[in-house]
Amino acid sequence: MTKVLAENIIKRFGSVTAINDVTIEFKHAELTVMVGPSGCGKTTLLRMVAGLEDPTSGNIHIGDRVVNDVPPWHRDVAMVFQNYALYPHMTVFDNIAYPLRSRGEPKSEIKGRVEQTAASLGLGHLLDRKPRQLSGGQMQRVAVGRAIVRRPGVFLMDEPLSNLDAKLRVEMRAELKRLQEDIGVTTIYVTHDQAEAMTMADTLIVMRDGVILQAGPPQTLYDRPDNVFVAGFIGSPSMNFLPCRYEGAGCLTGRGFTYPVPPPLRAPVEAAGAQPLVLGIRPEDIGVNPQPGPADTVLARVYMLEPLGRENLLTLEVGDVMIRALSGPDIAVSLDQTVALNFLPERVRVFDRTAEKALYPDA
Amino acid sequence: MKKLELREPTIAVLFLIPAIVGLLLFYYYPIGHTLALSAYDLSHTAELSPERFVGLQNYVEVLQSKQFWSSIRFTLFFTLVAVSLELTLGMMLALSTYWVWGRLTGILRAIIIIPWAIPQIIQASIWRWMYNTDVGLIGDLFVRVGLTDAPPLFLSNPSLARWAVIVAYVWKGASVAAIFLMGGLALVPKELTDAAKVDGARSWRRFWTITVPMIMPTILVTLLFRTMAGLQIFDIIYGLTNGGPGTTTETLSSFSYKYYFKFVQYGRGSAYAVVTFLLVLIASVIYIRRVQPHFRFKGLGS
Amino acid sequence: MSKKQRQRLHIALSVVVTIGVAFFALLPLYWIVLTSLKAPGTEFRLPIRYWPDEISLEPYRTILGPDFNVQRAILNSLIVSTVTTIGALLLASLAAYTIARLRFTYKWSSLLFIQVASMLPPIIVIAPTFLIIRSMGLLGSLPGLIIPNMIYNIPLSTWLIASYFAGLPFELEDAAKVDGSPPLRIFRQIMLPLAAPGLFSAGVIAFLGSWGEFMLAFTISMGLPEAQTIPVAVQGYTMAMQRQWTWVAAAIVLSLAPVIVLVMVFQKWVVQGLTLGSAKY
Ligand SMILES: Nc1ncnc2c1ncn2[C@@H]1O[C@H](COP(=O)(O)OP(=O)(O)OP(=O)(O)O)[C@@H](O)[C@H]1O
Ligand SMILES: [Mg+2]
Repeated sequence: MTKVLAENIIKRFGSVTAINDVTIEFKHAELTVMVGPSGCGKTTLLRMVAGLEDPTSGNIHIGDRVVNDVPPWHRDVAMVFQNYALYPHMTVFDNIAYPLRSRGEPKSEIKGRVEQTAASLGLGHLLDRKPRQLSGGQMQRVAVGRAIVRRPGVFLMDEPLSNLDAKLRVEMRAELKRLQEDIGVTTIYVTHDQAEAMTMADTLIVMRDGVILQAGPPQTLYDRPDNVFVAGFIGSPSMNFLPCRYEGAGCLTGRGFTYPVPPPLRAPVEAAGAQPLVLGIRPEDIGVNPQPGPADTVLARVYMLEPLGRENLLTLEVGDVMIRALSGPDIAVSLDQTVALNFLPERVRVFDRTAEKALYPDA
Repeated sequence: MKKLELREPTIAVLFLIPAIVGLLLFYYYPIGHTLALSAYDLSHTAELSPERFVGLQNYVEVLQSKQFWSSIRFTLFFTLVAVSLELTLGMMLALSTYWVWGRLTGILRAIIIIPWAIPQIIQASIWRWMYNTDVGLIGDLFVRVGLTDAPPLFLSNPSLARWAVIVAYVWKGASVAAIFLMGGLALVPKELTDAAKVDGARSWRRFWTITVPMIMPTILVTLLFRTMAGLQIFDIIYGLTNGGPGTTTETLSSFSYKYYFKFVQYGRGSAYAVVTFLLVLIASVIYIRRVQPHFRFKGLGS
Repeated sequence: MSKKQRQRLHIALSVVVTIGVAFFALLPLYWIVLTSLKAPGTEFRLPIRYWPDEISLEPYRTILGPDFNVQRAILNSLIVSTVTTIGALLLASLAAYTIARLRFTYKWSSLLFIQVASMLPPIIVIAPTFLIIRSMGLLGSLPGLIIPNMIYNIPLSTWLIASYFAGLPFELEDAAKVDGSPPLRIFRQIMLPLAAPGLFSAGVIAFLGSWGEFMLAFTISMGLPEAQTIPVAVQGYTMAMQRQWTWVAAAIVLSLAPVIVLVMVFQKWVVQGLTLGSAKY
């Protein structure tokens, strides 16, 4: 069992606090994806798990032991670095073989393992090249190869696919996920790619400014974000936010619209009273009606229409807020036309604007 | 099986010890020893143990001697003139490698580097022969060009000897300065050095307003290194004039060496050496003050 | 002037400049080579000849013969320079690695300690060094020369190699650690090979430096042929044979040949090394 536990981790670089009291368990054999804006501390957390940085305070556990004093070369982790970190003076073969050689594996075995790994990454014909003779995507695959050639207790992957082209990235992510499941290795995976995060993660972690905002299965983060940041960060195009207030009579009122509070949310919204609130709705949960009727309470002006093929992305102005909606490909609207919007009531989320917390009936 | 495994601070200490011990033994201890020796009267004894403590008396005597003042004056004169020439010529040489027709760059660079490789003491021998009164090349050229009727006595006429030493020294020094400056110029973006090929006033202005500020760190380091080399000058003096004629070309270092190993007056010699050291120290401090804003010790920190 | 004419003029001027520089830079060497090829005694003949009339190898035969045995001094110099260079590179690369790469509290003080040494004039250490070598019983021997020389080369070599180490990405070491290598092995397998160009530059510079070193060699050799390096020998000939310049010239040519070849072959590294040392702080 090689679960990884970070316990009350604080990491400071001089006056910068990169990680601010994080406690999180990365479960055995699961793939945990970390996302968050640039500089939020993802790499720093990975490096502490690898043993490349010492936490300022707190403990790192791998398996059942505290590894704070265990140097990286004894931690049995493998890492893919954000900028590859290939050994420039070694061939692709030697790069991939390096972790095996460092651990004194027998020569005969090394050759087979390296060749097999390289083949699975489509690097078979490049084994004799030096890193500087490779493209960015090829270097990245070598970096991945160097990590997966071993069967370590933990995989740490820092944006391992960021430099591949779109097609290869989709292939590789499936490949990696498959590999991870086959060998059942605890994996911590950092990415900026929404699709990667959603498709690969068993558990998804959203970080900001050195703290974890929410952790859970990706669908949960998508459906039930704890706060405005997570709601906006997960999903693409991202969730729309309309500032509003509860002004009694069961309705949320913002500039240019009123919206009846969906029944399950009535209790928490009423409890919030006159606090400033935010209504959140995802673009895919908005119905656009080109012929507004008298009963419609949310009207919008069409600002822009971008056909994406399978669907259309509309940019709309509600009051003075721009929101986006996805509609079917055959919708007939013209610019500056006024349309009516129907929010799917069960998909509407309401947040406390000051605390940025989501309001849920059972919370 | 628990193998011997070292953590970083332990390795750091182990890695540093050999260098530090070496430097202690052959730099720092000798300096201390020299300082100590300079406070003893050791004249006419070659013995190890200091004889008689005389405090600052060696310095007082040295400071009162004409020889000292003439040698310090020559050392400073030598350094000032040599460094100015080296830097001017070096800069011209370095720039010429960028200015010339592309196919000649490599050849020119190779030619410029050669004098740098020649040991100073051998350089002294070569120039001694060049300055030979009867059949020296320089004297002959002087006569041919019509500067003089007979070959001048380069090494035995006191005022000529000073310049003779400087010329011989600068022959190599300009090459050294040029190599440093070529290194600096190599870091200037190519468009700028290419632009210098378009002759005319604009490129001259560009040189002063763009190129020079960009290679200022290199210029200052070159200045510092060459000044330090000038202040400690020994080999070429020893080989070319041995301080002569009389003591006109004696420098602090050459005098110091004579006091040590010829007159066997360690105390006096040490006093001279300490003065040399102080001059170098002052020069370094001035430069480093001046230079500091130009430098980032990139990467050497953490 | 048309563009083509201007280009022709540029080429012509370039040739003039190159020849001019070559004239001043190489004239002394030409003169010495010329002298070394004259029959002994003819070097004082007037008027001065700028071209060889007839070539005589007699000076070389003499200087390489049993009376002078200049090859012994050259061999000594080769030994001294080679051992000095290897030793200095070894010590310096260890120190440089610590300073540039390791986490270590006293790294700035160490850097200062090493670099301040490079500012010290040789004259201030020469007498005590003589005494130290004497007390070690190494006067008049090559080891007595090699040991201090090695130390003298540490500051510059350390500086050059450290600049080189500092330029390598830190992730390489991190990757190697995670890949299972402890620091000592990383030093050997990753960092040293990658710093090879820096080591090489430092090595060429150290070799040339110790080849030409005079004050220490002169002091320690005590005039014994078995401990004389080539600069000391040549200086000795110069002083002793004011009327035999063909011999001296032959000795000079032999003393310069190895270093000039070295410099020509490794030009690139020399310039690169000094660039690292001077410009890329
Ligand atoms: N060695 C260091 N010294 C000082 N500050 C550091 C260091 N490493 C990271 N930081 C700081 O810590 C914070 C977190 O950095 P980190 O590299 O972990 O971000 P990240 O989430 O990986 O960002 P990205 O998505 O851009 O890779 C940043 O503010 C960064 O500037
Ligand atoms: Mg990162």
